[in-house]
Amino acid sequence: MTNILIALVVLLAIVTLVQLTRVSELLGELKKQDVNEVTDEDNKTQGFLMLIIGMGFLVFVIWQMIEWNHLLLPEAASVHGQEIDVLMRFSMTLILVVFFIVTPMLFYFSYRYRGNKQNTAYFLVHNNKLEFIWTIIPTIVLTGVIIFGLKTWDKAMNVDTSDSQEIEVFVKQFQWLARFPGEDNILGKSNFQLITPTNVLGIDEEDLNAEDDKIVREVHLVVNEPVVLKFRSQDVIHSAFLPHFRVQMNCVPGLSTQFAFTPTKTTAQMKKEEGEDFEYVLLCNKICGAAHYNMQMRFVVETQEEYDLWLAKQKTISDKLLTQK
Amino acid sequence: MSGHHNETFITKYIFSQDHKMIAKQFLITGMIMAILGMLMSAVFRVQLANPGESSILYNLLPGGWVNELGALSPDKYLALVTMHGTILVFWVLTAGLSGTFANFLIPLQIGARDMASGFLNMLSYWFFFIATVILVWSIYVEGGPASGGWTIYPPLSALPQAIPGSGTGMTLWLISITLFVVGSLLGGLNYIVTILNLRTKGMSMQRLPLTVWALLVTAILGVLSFPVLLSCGLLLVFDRSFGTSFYLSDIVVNGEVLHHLGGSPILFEHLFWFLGHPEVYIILLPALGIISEVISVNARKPIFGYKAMVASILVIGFLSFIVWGHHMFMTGMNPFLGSVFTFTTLLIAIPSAVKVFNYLATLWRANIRFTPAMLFAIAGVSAFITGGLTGLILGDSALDINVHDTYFVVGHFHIVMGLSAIYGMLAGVYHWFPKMYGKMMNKNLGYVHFWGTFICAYGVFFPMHFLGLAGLPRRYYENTAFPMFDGLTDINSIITFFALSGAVVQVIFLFNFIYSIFKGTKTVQNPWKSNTLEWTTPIERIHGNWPGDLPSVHRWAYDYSKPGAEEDFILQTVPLKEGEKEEH
Amino acid sequence: MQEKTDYGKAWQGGDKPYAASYGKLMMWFFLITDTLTFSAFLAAYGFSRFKYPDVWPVPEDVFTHFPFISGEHPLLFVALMTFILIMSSVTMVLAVNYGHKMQKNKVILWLSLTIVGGCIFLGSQAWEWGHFIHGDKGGIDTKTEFVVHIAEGEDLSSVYSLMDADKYDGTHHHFTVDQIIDNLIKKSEYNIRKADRQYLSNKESIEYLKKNGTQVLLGANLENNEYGHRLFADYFFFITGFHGFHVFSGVVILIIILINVIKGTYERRGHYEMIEKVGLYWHFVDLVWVFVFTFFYLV
Repeated sequence: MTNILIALVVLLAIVTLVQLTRVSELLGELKKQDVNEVTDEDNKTQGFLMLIIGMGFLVFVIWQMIEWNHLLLPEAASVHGQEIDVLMRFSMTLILVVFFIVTPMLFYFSYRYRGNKQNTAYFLVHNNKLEFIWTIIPTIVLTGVIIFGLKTWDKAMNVDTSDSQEIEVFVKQFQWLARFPGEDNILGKSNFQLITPTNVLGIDEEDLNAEDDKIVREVHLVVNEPVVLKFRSQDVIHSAFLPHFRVQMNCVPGLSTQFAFTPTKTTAQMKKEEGEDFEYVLLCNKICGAAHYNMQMRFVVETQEEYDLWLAKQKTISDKLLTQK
Repeated sequence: MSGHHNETFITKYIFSQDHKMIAKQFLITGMIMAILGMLMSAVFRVQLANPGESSILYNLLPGGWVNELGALSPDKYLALVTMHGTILVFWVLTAGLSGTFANFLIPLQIGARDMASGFLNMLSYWFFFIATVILVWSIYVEGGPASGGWTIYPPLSALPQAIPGSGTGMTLWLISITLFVVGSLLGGLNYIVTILNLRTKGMSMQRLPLTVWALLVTAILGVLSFPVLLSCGLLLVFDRSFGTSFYLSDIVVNGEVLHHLGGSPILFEHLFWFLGHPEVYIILLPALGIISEVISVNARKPIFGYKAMVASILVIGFLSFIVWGHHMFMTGMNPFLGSVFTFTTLLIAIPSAVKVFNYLATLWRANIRFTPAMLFAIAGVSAFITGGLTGLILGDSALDINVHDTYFVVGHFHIVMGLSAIYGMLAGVYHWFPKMYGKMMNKNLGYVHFWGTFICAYGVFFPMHFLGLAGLPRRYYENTAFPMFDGLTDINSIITFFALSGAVVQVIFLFNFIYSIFKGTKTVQNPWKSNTLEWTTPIERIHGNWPGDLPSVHRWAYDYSKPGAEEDFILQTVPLKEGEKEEH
Repeated sequence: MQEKTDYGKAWQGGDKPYAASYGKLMMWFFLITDTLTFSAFLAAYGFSRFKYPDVWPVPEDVFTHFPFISGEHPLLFVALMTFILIMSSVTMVLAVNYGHKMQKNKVILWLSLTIVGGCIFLGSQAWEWGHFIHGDKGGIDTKTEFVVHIAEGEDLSSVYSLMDADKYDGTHHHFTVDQIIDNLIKKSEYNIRKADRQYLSNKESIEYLKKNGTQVLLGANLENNEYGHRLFADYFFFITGFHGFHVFSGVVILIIILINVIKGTYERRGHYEMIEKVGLYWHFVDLVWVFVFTFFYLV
């Protein structure tokens, strides 16, 4: 019944609109005016609207920047992340400057040069000097941006990991797991064909290096100590996203990827700065199925002593096997 | 040559070989699919603003997409997002934009009777139509339509065990896209050959309107990049159905160890984005071409720097082939490769900037006539500026680390494609409606449509940049799983409000469009007082376009407000006067 | 009214600015799209193949058969196929040539020979496929590596030899890994060559298979194959299949055109341009084969 009523209302609304439009066009015919011709009046109105709403758009942008600034991610909590933040501030400033110069020009010109029958446009076909200027200036600016960007990229990607703490991050639908290499600092070999419900990471149990590995459900890191996360995926492409550290890397089945970084702020420090509820978190950032939105793992950055205490409590693989037997 | 064969209803309206009718077929199909795509976005925007709650809008969905509490189920949310992307990128902005305007404008603006092969042209529409039917059908199959994002990365898109939509729905998606690509290629071949071979006397390449240049480069991009999508999709078909391992390796899903070994999902990404990046320029260039035309006619001024505009179209076309890796910065690729792609991507900013400055110079000291088309064209330039600038952030690999796959990307590509390209398309519809249907669209309804759209559209997509900089990933069913996103609910509500309002505003356009076809005021031959050849054809549109001989062209397309002329425009067919020099 | 402007070399409008009819231009552009499809496949092949340089099968070891002649003749048959296809391009050129001269009978002759060449190529390709699918020396799939092969010392042998079976006795053979291991224990002169071309001793081979062997592979299909890496067969079937499909469609089109020539359609039309257009397609198919042959068989 409701559906029929809705349909009737919609139908009546359409009929009304049709009649209103028809009436306005007929009136126009009576007045011997073409109701669809753009008049000087129209140009004046639309020109004003261009100016006002165009500037309104800019005000809206500024409002958003002020109102929502506090929602943006806090300062980067890693070494390379700080460099990225510098580059980001520089690039953002650049594009905002260009935006706030060029956009008002567009709307102002639309207003200023609104047409009327008395005016004539200025027949200007081309100007090679201008073309040259506005090609060369962006080129120079962009060259600077590119060089700065590539330097930052190099610092983030080409990291000497010989002294880094290796941690494997393993991902599947819809869970993150991590594995620490234990005393020998070597991660045991693994193979996807060995994955079973009890051997979730597919670890080669004959590999001696695997015996002291520790599988954990949250990752602890030591502040200011370099770490390299090694990623493995079991089923589809996922992506490890640690926004506070400016870390992101796809986890691709059949491929091993990694990201090296050094955390600079402990969780305790972040809680002081951002509020007691703060936690470092790992999210999935590549569409991976129904629960893509709900895959998280907690990361904790702490002092060496706290870390050692925590790590000692984690069970090794051989411990787990013993308890299973 | 005009109207020499008897036309039945079928040959005139259905299996037409006349480029003008085929153009309208593309337009109407594109518009219907746009409505479908927009409804999908309305549904998932409602979910994002009111996570886990039921909504009256969900009644539009097939049964089984909502759970017992009436909430949208998460994998169907992904299905909606996937189909929304597929429909809008391919069906609306490629077929609906290029298919319509290339078919309509090319023969008319170059002075040809029709396309080089009317038969192949007709085939290109009907392949597209069948592709459409199959895609829409896939929404209703068991398991739902494809759900791995419009980018359909394997293994997710190869394994029905990973998400239900990767079963029958994905198979139908692949069949549909194959037919779509074949149709596009048939069209593209026609466009290139027609532009090169069938220009009328005096229509040298330097006298072509910018719309035709843009459509030519677009067609070349399509011809070179769509076949790679075809190959990419074919290999995926084999991985899904015939046990090959092109993209798959090391997979354990639902407790089952799969036999695939040695394949690489990254190979898929390379092949896909080799099309995927030129694809966005296939979408953008025709829109920019239309914007150039509409701005020049309504500013009563030549487009500033015609040669520079042509050069920038060519450079953008060429560069678009060597930037695809910027979609893959975070795949673990060799960092050097990442540097190369950053370099080429930021280079593309240069010809884009040149275009924007040329548009500004065109508006300077112009005599602007604000038709609804002109308003959309100017808004298209604004969106190109806004969206293009955020591209500089995304193209920089180091910055991409923290914004890749977040709402920052969603904001960027919606502003360049969803705003700039759609505005170009709308400008084209408003501008060439009189030529297509012999009637005028209602001007005041057009004004209301424009301002409503402009305000709502920026209201939807600009805030998304902030969501992205706050770390919010895209394709998330809801944000409630992470406390760090709790502060973003207000922004989501604002976006949804503008999205739903914007959707309602489009009803005004649809009403105007349909009403004007049947009851609009009759137009004159050249309502916009434009120079280009299409306005020298009769209002009622005939087969073969011109009743007598084909027109001869004596000048370029942009003699507006030329000093010494009687009116503020000079048709391309008017010969040069004594002592008059030709402009370029 | 006469224009005063001098256009110089600018084209004055009309038809055919590039001295090519629209039909020919369309064929050229279609060939460009097809080139890109094949390039994508070859690029994908290159991407996959160079990820596994050590373990990728060597085509010379795989494609060694020649019809009716026993023994190992590496790549000889495929070379003959290439020669036949190239010759068919030559006959095609001759057909086009005589078409220009409007000599109908000669066109029929050379077009027919082209079709014959194409059919021989297709038949040969089918034979290649049959042998590829049937298999040669057999192999054993492993858990952690790729396919390993039976050897005697440092010479490649075959599963059939180890199992004392006759490959051509008409029965459908099936062996288990345990049977292989048993025979390795019995015959100590046999051993394994690993996927990376390393030879293991007999004792090591037995240990290795006990730990790692999963199944004995004879022949090839899309899921796995006895020659080595799964993708080797996948790409073989896919690329040669896709190419073969083009040859097949080319032959069909050639037959249709031949019928038209015999009927005199082109005599009446006044030109044999259709032969030229089809010739373009045929040369394209030939050229693609040269690339496939080079990249798949030789590199």
